[in-house]
Amino acid sequence: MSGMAIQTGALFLDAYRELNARKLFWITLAISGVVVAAFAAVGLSPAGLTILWWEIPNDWANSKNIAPAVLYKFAFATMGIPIWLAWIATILGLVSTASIIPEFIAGGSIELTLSKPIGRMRLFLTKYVTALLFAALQVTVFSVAVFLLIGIRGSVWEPRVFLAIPLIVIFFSYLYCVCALLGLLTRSTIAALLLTLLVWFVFFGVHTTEQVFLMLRETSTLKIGRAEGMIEQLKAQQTRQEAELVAAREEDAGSVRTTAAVNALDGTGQAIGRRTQQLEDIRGTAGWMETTHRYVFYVKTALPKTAETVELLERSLLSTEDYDRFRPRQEPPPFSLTGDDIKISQRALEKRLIEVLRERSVAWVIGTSLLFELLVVLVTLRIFARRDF
Amino acid sequence: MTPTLTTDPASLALDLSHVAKTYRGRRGGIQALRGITMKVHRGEIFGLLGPNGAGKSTLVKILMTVIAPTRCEGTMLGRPVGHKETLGRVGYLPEHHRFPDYLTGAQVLDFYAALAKVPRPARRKRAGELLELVGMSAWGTKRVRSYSKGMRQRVGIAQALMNDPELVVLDEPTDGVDPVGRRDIRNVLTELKSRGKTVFLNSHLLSELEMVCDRVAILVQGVVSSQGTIDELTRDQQCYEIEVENGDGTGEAAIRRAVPALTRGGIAHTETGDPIEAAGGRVRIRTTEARRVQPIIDLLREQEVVIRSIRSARPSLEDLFMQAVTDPTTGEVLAPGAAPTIRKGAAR
Repeated sequence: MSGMAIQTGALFLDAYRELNARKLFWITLAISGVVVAAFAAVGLSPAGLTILWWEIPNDWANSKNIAPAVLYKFAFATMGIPIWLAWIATILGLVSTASIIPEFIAGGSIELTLSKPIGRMRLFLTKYVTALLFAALQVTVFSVAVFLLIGIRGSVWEPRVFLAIPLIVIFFSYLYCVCALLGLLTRSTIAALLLTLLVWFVFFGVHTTEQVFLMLRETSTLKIGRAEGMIEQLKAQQTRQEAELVAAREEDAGSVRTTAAVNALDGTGQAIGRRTQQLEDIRGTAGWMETTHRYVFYVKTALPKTAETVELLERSLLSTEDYDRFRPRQEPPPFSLTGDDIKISQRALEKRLIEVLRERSVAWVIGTSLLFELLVVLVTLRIFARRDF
Repeated sequence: MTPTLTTDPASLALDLSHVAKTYRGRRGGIQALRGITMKVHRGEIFGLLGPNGAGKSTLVKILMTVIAPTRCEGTMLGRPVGHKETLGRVGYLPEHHRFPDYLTGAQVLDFYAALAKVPRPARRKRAGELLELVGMSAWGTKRVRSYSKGMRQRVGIAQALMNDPELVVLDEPTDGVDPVGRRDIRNVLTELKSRGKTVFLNSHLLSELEMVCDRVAILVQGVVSSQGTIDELTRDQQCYEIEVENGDGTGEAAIRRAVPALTRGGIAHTETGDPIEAAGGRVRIRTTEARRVQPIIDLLREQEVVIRSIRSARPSLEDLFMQAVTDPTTGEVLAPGAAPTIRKGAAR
């Protein structure tokens, strides 16, 4: 075995021993088991939902409408990953690993390591990778359990659940690179952890802001489409009413029919004017939304896309049709040419948003996030390589 | 026995010149080392001593690549200082070292030896041998967190020897160790020397150093104030000391009658030109030759001075240390710490 392999093997073995010594690692793993067991306890029968041996009758959520495998995939992709792994387990993971760099560079410890024939860059990167082992081990165990669950309970063997392993590790690495840098700068586990959570909150804030502006932009777009459709229909109605007026006047210019036609035409003309004004207002707002969204989007592009990285799994596991099965049937809002509001279908908006989000390439979601991580790691490496301990 | 010293580069474990380190700060810098020049020969035990803040640990950390020097010329085991691969041939025990407390003593040895690229079979073999050597065999499977300070120190020394190093650098190895442990460590050092290893020892315990070191260097405020074998450093100060009976100062008076030069003030000399001084019923003649003391004994006996003892004396390492840290102009002990701060923009 080469010297480099001996060193790398020792560092990985030490990382395992370090994780093994941390109780939180095993606690997190145990909670993962409980989460999977909770999923396993839920099932579908022809009459409705089942939880262990209890049955909850439901006309929509039953095995006639939803295949059990789809239920489990949905639960895994929309709850198990984003709520458990990407939130709770990640926070526990950060709590467990935040101390790795501060303890590594602590006085009395770092001298022993730096005095060995191993370069600082390799030493730090190996240590960095070993910290990611925490996330990798946790998510691997969880994914295997879910794979078995979907296979046994849903009779479908779905290998795509293992996509969670690289995605969650990548997601965790966005945060861990920040944690490592802060740990190196502050030498304090608590400071590194709290500041990392703050930075994560900033990522989340930027993501949420972008989503809000995206929703507003798409709402405006749909409203513009709806308003244009209304105006077109009103104009068609106006044409018909004009023909009706001509016919009425030819028959008897002073008749009730003529008066009614004139009134109808006036009403339609006013409606067209009101809708046109509304359309202009919406277009004005839409322009502002578009510009604001663009700038927020630029900021987001430069930062790690934590939520969207996790959503890639959902994208892979669930088709739009699968998604629709879990959406309540909702009719479009009543179409009224004379009502004051321009209403749009919530379902149409959600569908549009999913389409827009799914149009974002994997390269953009992961590539730009990894660029951020690379930059942070390079800065951290530079500081570590040049620092006197 | 002190090894034969030559200036052949191949015979030097450490050959340092112009080693300097300035810690930069916002308000200027602190000169921790101001051009260290030092030679450590292969197969010797070399002691580095100095007051707190003299730069001892900084120098050791530069050698071990923990700190980057501001300037450094020289070699360690024939390769430039800072050459990473050379560290595989060096064993190091830092001061206040801290091992991962989730590891057992044996795992500590295995881990750090693996980082030094020692193959697994050799690690397993040496771990057992070295735990035995430092008296920790019974504790090898216990976690480090349960160790006392002295036990950690013993495991630390074993750790430094796991890669069978040519050069062993020990920073305060007896810190926190009881007298029995200190004796054991001294024996280990002597054993290492007998196997041809070089030991570079950094310690405050002058008596410890005096017992084992072939050569020493005294570091004061970032510069080497003196270095060499203890004999070399004390050669000019070796003397013969004659103790006389001095009831009510009569002995003292008789001494001054016997050697009139002592009463004239200034530095007195014997007829053969050796410096001589008297105080408290003791006469000190600075010479290494016994025959040059005989005329003084004769003079004292002529004055019927009762001689209690005559012995060859030399200053202890502590005396040398105190001389080194004492300002020769004021006679006051220098303040501990590094050299005075240099201001930004000041000429250097």
